[in-house]
Amino acid sequence: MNATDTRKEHRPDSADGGTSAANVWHLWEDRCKGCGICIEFCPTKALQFSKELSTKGYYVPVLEEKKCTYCGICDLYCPDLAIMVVRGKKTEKQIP
Amino acid sequence: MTELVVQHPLEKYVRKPYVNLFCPGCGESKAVFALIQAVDELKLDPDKVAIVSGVGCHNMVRTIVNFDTASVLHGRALPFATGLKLGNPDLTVIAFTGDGDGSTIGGNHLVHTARRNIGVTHIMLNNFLYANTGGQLAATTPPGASTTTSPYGNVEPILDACDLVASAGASYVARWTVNNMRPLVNSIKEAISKKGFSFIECVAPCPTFYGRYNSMKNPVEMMRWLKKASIPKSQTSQLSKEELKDKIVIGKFVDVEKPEFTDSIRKLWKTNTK
Amino acid sequence: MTKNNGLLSPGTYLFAGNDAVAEGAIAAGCRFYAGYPITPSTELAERMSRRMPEVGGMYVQMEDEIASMGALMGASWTGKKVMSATSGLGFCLMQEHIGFAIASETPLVLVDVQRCGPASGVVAEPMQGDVMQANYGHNGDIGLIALSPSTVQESFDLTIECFNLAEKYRTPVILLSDARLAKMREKLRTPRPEEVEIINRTIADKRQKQFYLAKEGVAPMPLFGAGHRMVVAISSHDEYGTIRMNAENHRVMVDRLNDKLRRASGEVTKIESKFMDDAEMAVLSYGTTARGALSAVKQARKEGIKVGYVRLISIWPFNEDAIRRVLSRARDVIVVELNTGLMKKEIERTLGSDKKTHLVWDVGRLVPPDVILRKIKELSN
Repeated sequence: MNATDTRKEHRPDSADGGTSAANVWHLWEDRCKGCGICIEFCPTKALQFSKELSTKGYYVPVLEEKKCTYCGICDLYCPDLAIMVVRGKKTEKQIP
Repeated sequence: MTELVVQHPLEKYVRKPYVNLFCPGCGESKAVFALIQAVDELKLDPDKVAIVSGVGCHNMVRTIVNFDTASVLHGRALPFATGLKLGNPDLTVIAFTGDGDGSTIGGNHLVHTARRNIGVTHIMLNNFLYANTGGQLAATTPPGASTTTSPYGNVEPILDACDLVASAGASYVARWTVNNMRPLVNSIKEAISKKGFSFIECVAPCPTFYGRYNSMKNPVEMMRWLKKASIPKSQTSQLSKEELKDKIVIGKFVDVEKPEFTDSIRKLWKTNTK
Repeated sequence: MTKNNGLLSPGTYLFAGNDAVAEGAIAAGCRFYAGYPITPSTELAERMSRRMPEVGGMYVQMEDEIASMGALMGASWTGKKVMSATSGLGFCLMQEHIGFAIASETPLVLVDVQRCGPASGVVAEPMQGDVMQANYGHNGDIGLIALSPSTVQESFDLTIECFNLAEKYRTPVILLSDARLAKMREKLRTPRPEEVEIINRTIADKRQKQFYLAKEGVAPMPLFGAGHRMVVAISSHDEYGTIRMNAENHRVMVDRLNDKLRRASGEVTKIESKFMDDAEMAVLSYGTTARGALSAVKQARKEGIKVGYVRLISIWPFNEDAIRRVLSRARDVIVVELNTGLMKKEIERTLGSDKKTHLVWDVGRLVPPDVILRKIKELSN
């Protein structure tokens, strides 16, 4: 199961066009079960339920980037390992 | 352009392919990842981590975490964990059970494993009933609660597992909820690093059964209830017993140094055998 | 007496049955004992509590028999040879774990020092009431291996055999002793370590992935802490330990476990027979009951009756072919046992209607030879 299949990645705008951004918010949509805990716990209310169902049949969180502080609470509280928040450093693996 | 493969940092501890069969919003699922987070932050050798789980929803830990796992008989995780630790003291043995498994049917073993103070960490996930089999009454079900085997409301008093384990003699006793993920992860780290028996009761609500049967329609409502009901130990002195009745007291209750069982045996045998 | 790494020096001793079993276990390499005291097995636990530290082993008294079995299972999966001893009531409590050991192919040895039952019965008197429970006490229908000693020497020797079989076939093995054998004292000759054949389990290496349900032979056993990241489960599983909850896979599991036992049967089956060459009648017994049976048969022979003696040393797996063969000449078979006919029913079923099967029984005391002799004479007229 390739982790890149349905990821939604958000990077804040930066001078270099977003390729070397420091903060990242990822959602693996096929893991999300629409429980809504991330939306409830987000301190800046940056997350909302999507308007459309995911491929698994759930309403998944949609990020409003401007409000996100990349605190990582949604990552820590997600019961399904569906959200990854990276703050300040790159952790992506590059494959040739 | 090289392709980036993005992986959650905890995925290296997860069995492939990653399949999560917990219900949406399940508290126990969060506890599984809290455990993995703690193991990661402690930088433990994953080959030496042994998970012992009983029968219940928590048992799905065996399909998620990529450590040596024993999925044992209902209520008998602690004896198996004792055997593992005595057989190979180098293992980091973590008993991962539910509340029915760990303190109801497993109650006797809980008392004695704590009393022996053997170097095993017991993480007991408390969702207040037997969820896996459809939501029956357990010793940890609050009075008045509705379950499939207490349709008129639970008459029995609730068991305070932390109290029981502390009386039995464990070195480390704490209660957290999945609402307090950071303190929970820190507590698991402390518990694993402790030499003797460590017990963490992790309140992990069940929206599918306990929630629905007790007027909490979805995971978010359960989390809101949990937030309101939780009270840190330091704030309980101001409340009366009546006010504390429906509260969940969280915090660290016991953290002491005590002789650990295998150490005591070896010391004794060294001095008593030729 | 306990030099050379704590092992018993080779020699001749006066030992009680319980103690002989303990020493046999130590000679076989048992280094982990978790138990709960119950009459009449307690001396075994007491001896182990003293001897385990002397041989670098581990002794722990658990809170009940269920916990004892749990601890045995855990220790066995770290590579230790493990044992516990109990009696009928404790044996009942252990059944769930016995089923777990069978399903997960965990080697362990259990000594059942049988006493009168059901329930508490008579605490220190013998009965052979657990012979069926040994095989059928757990839920499900896969059996195990059970051996029945009848002398103190056999208590020692068969215990070593139990460990070897447990390790070789990755199964729980029961030693069916009884209250009389446990306490009686007899001559015991202990061998030199090089005279003892020890079999150890095959341990899986890092590359192997199939830990259970071998099609042929026995799957190598992985140990905790060796990096296998394996699963030991109570649920129905496949060769890799992955849990499979469907009829098809369960059938494969049941089939393979059954097959493993059937293959073991050839090696395990041990039946002693005397005077059977021209026997028209046979006396069949097992355990301490056989001692009286042999006396009766010898006396009958002196009086010219053509009677033979058959003793079952292995009780399970029950080998119908071997039993039919050893009893082929006899027209009548007298089964002597300390219960109301548990083994007699099996023998009767096995032999069919061509032969007549009779029962001489008692409980709480050994059947005296003259009682058996009376039955032999009654049938020979």
